[in-house]
Parts: sequence; structure tokens; C-alpha cells
Amino acid sequence: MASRAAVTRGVSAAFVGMAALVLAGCSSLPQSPEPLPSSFIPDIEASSTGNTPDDVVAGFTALEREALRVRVRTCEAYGTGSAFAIDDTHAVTNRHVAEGATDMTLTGYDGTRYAVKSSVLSPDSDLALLTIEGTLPNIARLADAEPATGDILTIAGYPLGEALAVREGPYVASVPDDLDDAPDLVYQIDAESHPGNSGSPVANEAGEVVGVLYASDDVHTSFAVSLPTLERFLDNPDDAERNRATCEAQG
Amino acid sequence: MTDDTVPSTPVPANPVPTNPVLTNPVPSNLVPDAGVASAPKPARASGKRWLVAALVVACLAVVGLTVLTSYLWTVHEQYVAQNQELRDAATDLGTDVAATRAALEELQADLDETTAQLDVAKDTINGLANSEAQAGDDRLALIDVADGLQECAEARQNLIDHLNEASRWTPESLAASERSITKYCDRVEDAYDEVVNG
Repeated sequence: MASRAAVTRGVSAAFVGMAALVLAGCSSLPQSPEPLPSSFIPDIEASSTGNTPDDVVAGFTALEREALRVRVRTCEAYGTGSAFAIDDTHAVTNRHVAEGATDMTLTGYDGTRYAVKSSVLSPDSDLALLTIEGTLPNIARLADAEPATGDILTIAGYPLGEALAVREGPYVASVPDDLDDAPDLVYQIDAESHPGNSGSPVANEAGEVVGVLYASDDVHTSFAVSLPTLERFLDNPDDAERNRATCEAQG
Repeated sequence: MTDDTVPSTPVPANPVPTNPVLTNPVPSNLVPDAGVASAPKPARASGKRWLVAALVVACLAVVGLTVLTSYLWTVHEQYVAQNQELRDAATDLGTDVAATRAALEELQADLDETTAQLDVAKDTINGLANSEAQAGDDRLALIDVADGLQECAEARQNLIDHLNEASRWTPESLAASERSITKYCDRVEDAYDEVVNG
């Protein structure tokens, strides 16, 4: 009887030991593989490559489409300048472009012409507001804030009355207006411009207008009427002067 | 082989030397009388039991190993099948990627070509718009020159009419009118030359 009990205990111990071994071994046994997903292709939303900005139409950016060529006839001469639309019937250019005009015509980037019905001049800055016949299709957006030093600004206009051209350069500083002795500071920009660029929109990197080009050294420095001055001019139309020109008889 | 501490327990004359269980103390109520000499029988029965136990354990071990081997084989087969499935999926995806890359390169080439054509078209539009604007400038200037030439012609005709009635005008006034008209007509002619010849 003693040996049977001993064997029973031994066998039980063996069972317990084997069971423990089996349980311990099971935890380290390889498990069945996880089921595969139905697809290995994640859902990724398509993003723009950036090669074709949304505001490009027929190869022209919004700023290029907003820039207008101005043809001016005064009693003494012909002249050209640049301008840009601020709504569907009004465009902004320089006072020195429009002053004394007996006839003005605007031309868009695609050659569309718009006759100017009338114009008014700023009394204290180099700005003029033109009213046109018809409807201007490309309206410029004014920026909410002035540019910061170093911001790259873009000038779109018609230098020398020739083809549309775009120039870029950093905004350097706000400086006194030595040319017109106007009370407001003007923007100095390291960018090339020429006669004919007067009235060109000056835009920030978002394409929003921050100023109106009015002077340059004809090499690499340009000057623009500032955004606050432009906003003040547009907000106070009653302060503007009528642009009248009466030619005396020749002969 | 006797133990002084357990004097009343008889020790088998020929104990099983290799089984440590037999060296354990045995409860006194299970100890046979000293006069009964039957020690070899329990040893044989115990050996059989151990043999049976060993066989049972061995059988269990065989069964366990069989189960384990079957499990491992099954898991192995599952991994092999899934590996093949993954290889097939990877091959399909690789084929798709290659096709997509080829299509992308083709599209990029098309895009580059279109962009180049767009640049040309833009330059053409810009050039045509500029030509039209310049033509408009020239037309405006020519209209003004034509108006000036007409005024010049009318002024000269007036001068001729005055000369035909020269007696009615002083020579000085006629000469002054002629100088004025000539000056004006010269300016118009200069303007004409400038418009025509640049």
C-alpha cells in the first residue's frame, strides 16, 4: 500500500509538472498569424502638386490679370501708365499719370479695352481714381496689413508702355516721399521699374495689393504709395479733386 | 545497514538500492510484524507500478508531443499560406506602383509640354495685346495728325482766300498769318514724321 501511494504521488507530481510545462510552453508557442487586411492601400486624400496655382488663368496670375495699361492723351502729349481695378467700374493709378488727361483708355492683359469716363485726383498723394465704361473683370484685393521688412513684393505693369511685365523684390523700408513732398511715408522696394510702371499694383506674396508704384530710379529701386494712404484715398472720395483739362486752341 | 534511531523497523535484507522512495520512513501502523519475512514482494509490485506509471507518462508525453507537433505544423502552414498571400499582394502592388510611375512620368512629360505651350501661348497673348495697344497708340496719334493736317489745309486755304483779297489786308497781317500757319503746319508734319517713322 505504501508503494502505491508513493507511485500515485509520483504520477500526480509528474502530471502536475507536465501540465505546468505545457502551460509554460504554450505561452511561448507561435500563434496563428493575424488575418490580413482587405487592402494594403491606405485612403490618402489627393493633394495639389503646386505646379498650377489656382489663380492662374491662361498662364496669367491674378495680379497679372488685374494690371491694366493706361493710355493718356493730354493737351500737349501722349503718355502711358499702369493701373489696377478695385471694383468692376473703378481703377486706381497715379495722379501724375491721369492729371491733365483729355482722353484715357485702359487695356487689359488680353488686349480688352476700356474707355475712361472720368477721373478724380488725390489732393495729397500720387493717386487717381478712374471710372470706366463697361465692366472690369479682374478685381484686385487689398491686403489687410502692411508688408513687413524683407517681404517679397511683386510689381505688375507696363514699363515704357510696352508688354505686361512682372518684377519682384524685397520691401526695404518706409521712407519719406522726397519726390512729391507728400506727408505720408512711402515704401522703398528693391525691384526694377521704369516709366510706364507708374500706377502698377504692388502685391504681397498672397497676391494682395499693398501699394501703388509711383517712382523709381530706373535701375533697381522703386517706390510705392503705402497701403494706409491708398485706403484713406479710397475711403474719402469727397476729398478728391475732379480731373479737368481744357486745351487751348492751337495755331 | 540498521539504524539506531529506528530500532523497531526491520530493514529488508535486499533493499532496492536505487529507489530513494524506499529510504523514507514508513508509518508505524503500516510496518509489518518483525516475524513476517515478506519484504521482496512489495518491491516487485512497486516496480511494476512505477513501470506502468512511466509508461503512462511516456504515453502522455507522446500524445503531448503529437499534439504540439500538429499545432506547430498547422501554424507553420498558416504562416506559409499567409506568406504566399503577402507575396502575391506585394507583387500586385509592385505592378501597380510600376504602372502608376510610368503613367506619372507620362503625365509629367505631358504637363511639361503643356506648360511650355502655355508659356508660349501666354507670350503670344501678351505680345498680341501689346501690339494692339501700340496700334491703338499709333491710331490715336494718326487721328490727331490727320486732324492737324486737315486744320493745316483749311488754314492754308483761308490764307489763299485772304491773299486773293490782299487789298483788304495789310501785308504785315498777311505775313504774320502765313508765319503762324507755316509754324503750325511744320509742327503737324513733324508729328506725322514722328508717328510714321518713330
